[in-house]
Amino acid sequence: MAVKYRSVKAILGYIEEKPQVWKVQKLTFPVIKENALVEYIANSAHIPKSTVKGCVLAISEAIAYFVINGHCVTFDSFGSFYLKVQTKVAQTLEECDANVIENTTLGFRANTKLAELANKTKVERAASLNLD
Amino acid sequence: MNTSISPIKGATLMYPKKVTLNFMEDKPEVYRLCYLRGSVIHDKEVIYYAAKAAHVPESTIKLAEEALFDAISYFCTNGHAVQVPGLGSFGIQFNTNVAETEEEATEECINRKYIRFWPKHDIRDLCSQKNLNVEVKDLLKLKQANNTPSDDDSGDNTPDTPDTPTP
Repeated sequence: MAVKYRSVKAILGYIEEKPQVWKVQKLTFPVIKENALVEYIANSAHIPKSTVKGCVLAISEAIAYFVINGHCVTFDSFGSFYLKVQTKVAQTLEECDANVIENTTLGFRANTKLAELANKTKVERAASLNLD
Repeated sequence: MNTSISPIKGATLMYPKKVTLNFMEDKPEVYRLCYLRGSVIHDKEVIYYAAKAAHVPESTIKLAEEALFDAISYFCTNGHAVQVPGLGSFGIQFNTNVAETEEEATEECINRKYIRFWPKHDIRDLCSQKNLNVEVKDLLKLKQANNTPSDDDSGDNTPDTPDTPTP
């Protein structure tokens, strides 16, 4: 199944002439919610749904726990989870301490295999909507 | 595999780095705080910890982990966004160029497609600065501390090994 896209009009407000351009916008199919994902995994791995949910929550908790404690968590078949840090710059070395940290969150980076798979995803233009 | 993986309480190590802001006219030199990634935790260790926490066999966690990541890869590459319990959402995103006309706005404008992750609110709160034990260290001192020989050194890196070529 291909990922659908459409072309939308946009105005580049940061340029003085404010030119009108066209952009490619991805259309998302229905979101796979938590329960649907758990059911899918239960069917494919032949594990009871309750066990799957417990396992997934335990894996998520383990990832968060290791990342908070300064580690990077790598799954060979998927990617890496790490701590993403956003900081301000400091003028002097003395000012460069924990106070320059603006935001921290959990980041993810796909491994080479997944990144290649994502890059090879087929795309096709969605049928245009008649808004008349 | 290191099975003595009792909760590893660690600090988030950061170090100051001098950078030049080349995009500014006077190219000022400033200091930026960079994150030093700690040790890498692999699948096996996560499975061990998760099995202990969920009171299920490691084989079940491993099966669930493989099926989870296969499911995420499958749905994302088919255009769906996926919500993972306790973690967040994954979805495919495009990096695109703009086009001057509608006819030119085709898949050729797409530079790259990638999988993006949005953490859940709970995880974001958990990873927020107030929950982190941040330590700012000097990178040189950290490297020196890592290179300091300990009693456990087996001496494998001694220069007088038979394979070392003579000058």
